[in-house]
Amino acid sequence: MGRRAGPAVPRGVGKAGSRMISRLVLENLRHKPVRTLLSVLLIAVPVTLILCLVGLSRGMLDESVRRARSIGADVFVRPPGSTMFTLGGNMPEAVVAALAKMPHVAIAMGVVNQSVGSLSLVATGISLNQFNRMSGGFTFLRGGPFRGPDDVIIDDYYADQEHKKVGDSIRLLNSDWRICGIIAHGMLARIVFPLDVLQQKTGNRGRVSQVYLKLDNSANTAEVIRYIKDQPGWEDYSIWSSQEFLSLVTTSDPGGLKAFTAVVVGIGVVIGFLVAYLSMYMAVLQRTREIGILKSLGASKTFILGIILTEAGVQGLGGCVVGVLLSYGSRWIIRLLVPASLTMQIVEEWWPIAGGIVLAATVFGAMYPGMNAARQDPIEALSYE
Amino acid sequence: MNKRGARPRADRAGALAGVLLAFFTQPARAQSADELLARLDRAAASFTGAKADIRRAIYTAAIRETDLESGAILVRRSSPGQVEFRIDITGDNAYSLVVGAKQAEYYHPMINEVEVYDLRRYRDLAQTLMALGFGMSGRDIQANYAISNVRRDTTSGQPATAMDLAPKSQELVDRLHLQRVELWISDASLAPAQEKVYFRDGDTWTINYSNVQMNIKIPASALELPKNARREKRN
Repeated sequence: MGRRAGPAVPRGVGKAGSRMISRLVLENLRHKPVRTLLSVLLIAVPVTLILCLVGLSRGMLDESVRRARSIGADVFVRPPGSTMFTLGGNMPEAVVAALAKMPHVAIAMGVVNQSVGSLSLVATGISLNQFNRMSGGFTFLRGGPFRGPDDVIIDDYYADQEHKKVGDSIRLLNSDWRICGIIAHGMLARIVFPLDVLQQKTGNRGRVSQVYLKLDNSANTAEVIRYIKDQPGWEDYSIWSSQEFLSLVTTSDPGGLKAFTAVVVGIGVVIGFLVAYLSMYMAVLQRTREIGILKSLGASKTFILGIILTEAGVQGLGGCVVGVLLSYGSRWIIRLLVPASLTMQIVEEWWPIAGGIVLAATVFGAMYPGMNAARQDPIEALSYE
Repeated sequence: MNKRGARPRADRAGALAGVLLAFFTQPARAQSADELLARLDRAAASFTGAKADIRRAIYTAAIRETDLESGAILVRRSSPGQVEFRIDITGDNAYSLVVGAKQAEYYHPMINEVEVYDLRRYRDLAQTLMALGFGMSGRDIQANYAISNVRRDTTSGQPATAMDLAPKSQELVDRLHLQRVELWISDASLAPAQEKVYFRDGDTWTINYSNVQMNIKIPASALELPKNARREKRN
């Protein structure tokens, strides 16, 4: 008796089966390059969206932290009921002098903040002498300090965004100003005015938005905050140590960004699912005869399902890689066009998260077409036109 | 005239509500509380609009210093049960505030910019504050404040009924750190004559209304801010 011939295609997904699946998937992808490319690009979109959103929120918060740290203050004081993102002049300027007399306070500096165009772009009014004493001063890349009441200092990002250089005129707050200096970004604010000028311009004469305190010794911070809070009338002022403030900034959720990120992640899941579903559904339709041949050669349901899921997985992986690359592209575009308004970081730790979410959605989306393919009757499949 | 800032305290949304509060705490009576509230009910039914000069003294307890600001207020009945108003503060720190049913607009004349706040989240808060003096019924005052210590008094030489109001809204207490309001209502005009707002940290606002004209027609256009001003949404 002759030996019964074994199946030409491995029945299961063993070592040989895996090798064959890989070859088939590779050939399938190469055979339909446009469909493959489109699928990869579509899967990349949600990955990029998630990474951009996380990168923007991280970048903006880190920029705020860097600017706050650059001031060199130990204590931040804001009016009762205010938050970290409060703007405007809300307390009498006499508060600054009162705080300067508190024990261990070496320098007290009041500032006024005013948004310029959008909440993310803020102008700050300062006394330059006090700022220099507290922080060591700005790093001027070009130009120098204020020389007149119409002078404004801007940082390099804002200068790039507005295509301005020292000596140019710039329109802000309904007036024209002369750019007297361009500073390195990450210090205090993107736009800096003399305190009295910004107070007058924004209707805040005699008022400040917040007060920075530098102590004789940073170790006294907790004691000073306790002392101020114990004084009559100061109980409801918002007073933070610099560490508390920076920690609050980094854990804050301005504008409901966390909720927004969750929505984008949800969109990513839906897009990944739909793209994989459609792509694999089309692939199964196109390859009905091919699947019939494989099944008539002895391929099991698991083997067929393996081909479909592997192909979706490869496309998903490709989408993740392309998505990460596109996030670099997005950052480059942001830096090119609006470096002062938006700051984006590349957040590597979110690569596996965004990729994992979208990849899982992709494989899940390929499940139904894969099951359909695996269930096909070989005779019907072979007669499919 | 405006001396030292006149801007709201606390964060913008809270501050805005604070400004509203400052200008809308109202009077209750000159006789018994019930009589006064009944008179206010009747007056509210026929209220059309009002105009007055205002003066606000802002006391900051931490530095024991008082700032003053003054200007004018217009109140207009926009629909039954609803009023909108405009406050124009003059002087160095001039600003205008217009509050309608859905939004509040804070105008900086120097930079020709309007900050726009969506009031829908603070609707109850705004309505409570807005209605408090001009066109608010006694029933509504009772619904929003616990009334106590109703007494005869005079303010700026006018006979008035004074009362203490404790806000029932926890939001007023939490957001503005508001403790209570003292309110003087002119016996003659049933218009608010003075109010004093007490905050938890000892700060107070004393608001005086003078030259009050009640039940006048205020056109909607009187509450419009410059159309060419840059507008920016803040919440």
